[in-house]
Amino acid sequence: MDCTYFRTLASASVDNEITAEERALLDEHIEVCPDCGAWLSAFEALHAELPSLAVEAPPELRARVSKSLSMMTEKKPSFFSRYKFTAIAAAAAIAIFALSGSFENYLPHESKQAAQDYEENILYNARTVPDSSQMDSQLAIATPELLEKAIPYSEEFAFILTIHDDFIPNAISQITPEIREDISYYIVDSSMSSNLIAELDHKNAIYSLTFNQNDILPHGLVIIE
Amino acid sequence: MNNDLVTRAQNGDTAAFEQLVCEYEKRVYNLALKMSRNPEDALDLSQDIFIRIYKSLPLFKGDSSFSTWVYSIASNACIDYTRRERRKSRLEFLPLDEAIPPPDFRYQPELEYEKTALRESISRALDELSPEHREIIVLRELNGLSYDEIADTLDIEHGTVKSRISRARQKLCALLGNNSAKSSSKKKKER
Repeated sequence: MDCTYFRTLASASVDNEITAEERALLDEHIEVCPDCGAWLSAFEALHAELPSLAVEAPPELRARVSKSLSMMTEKKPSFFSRYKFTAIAAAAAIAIFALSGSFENYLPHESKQAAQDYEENILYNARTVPDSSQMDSQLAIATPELLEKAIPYSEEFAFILTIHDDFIPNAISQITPEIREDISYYIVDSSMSSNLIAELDHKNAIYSLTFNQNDILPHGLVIIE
Repeated sequence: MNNDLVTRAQNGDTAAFEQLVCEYEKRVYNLALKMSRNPEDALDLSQDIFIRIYKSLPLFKGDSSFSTWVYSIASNACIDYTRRERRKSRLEFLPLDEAIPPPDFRYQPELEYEKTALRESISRALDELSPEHREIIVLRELNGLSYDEIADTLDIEHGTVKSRISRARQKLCALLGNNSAKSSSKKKKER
């Protein structure tokens, strides 16, 4: 047995992690090996001082953890409740968009990829949508049918927005079933799970955006009470 | 009491979880502080650890003690941190020179400022250890875990704990000796 072994024993001895037999061996070795004796003294001195390096956690740690927990556990108010809409009123009230071409034209593929970051996305859209004066004002709506699907999940996402290529007079009643068939996209909240999106049964539910009351909305998006 | 708190926290009782945070915050923070070597990062890291713990609560089945489970998550988070930061301590790649004698600790400082200076030296030397050695020293010396608890936390053998602690202590002593020698040499040059 060499000194490496006895230094390991010396270290374990200061932690009381050696057997009586090992301690006897160590004592015997130290009597004839002053170097290992010095290591044992050094380990003991370190063992005495190191615990004093422990500090108290800063008080803000608890506050920060509590805040994170609150944010994680609080139920996000639905779009409708945020805007004090009733669901029925919302059907007639969410109005919308000012795009003449397909919305997709204004959203490059990369931005779809980046859609998870809503804030960045909003700003990106606002910057990249071309001259709005050339756009026909158009459609708006969460149709009653869509709302019916949406309401069970209204705590899960901010709102459903439908966007359509064609110009649609701003009356819900004029939206024909054919046009509804053409509805291209849903915009759903990022907190909505992919399962819920699948339940909406719409292949184009691809964007992930959330709007808050004071947000700068994408150019052309209007919410009418 | 701890088990009750854990069960309540698992059932979504955030107040119970906050009590668990109070119980573990000092030990988690000290590990985070020594692994990050930066109070601001340590605060962020500790917060991240507690959120990880909270999110993972449904996965805790009681196979180990709750404290071991907490330390495992904290340790993994710290390892992730050190990998991200890629801060390499300068002694990490140096082999342990067993020929170097340990520093002489027979002198016991009695004055408070001398004790403070010694602690500062030890703290600096600890910061220079490799993350692996720093971690095991913090778990043993600052957080007071037994060798078995450390073995469970780090998922290593009891014998590995024993040898790793010994080598970490030897490196720490060597660093203290080197730093002390450098300090004396600097003072001589200044004269």
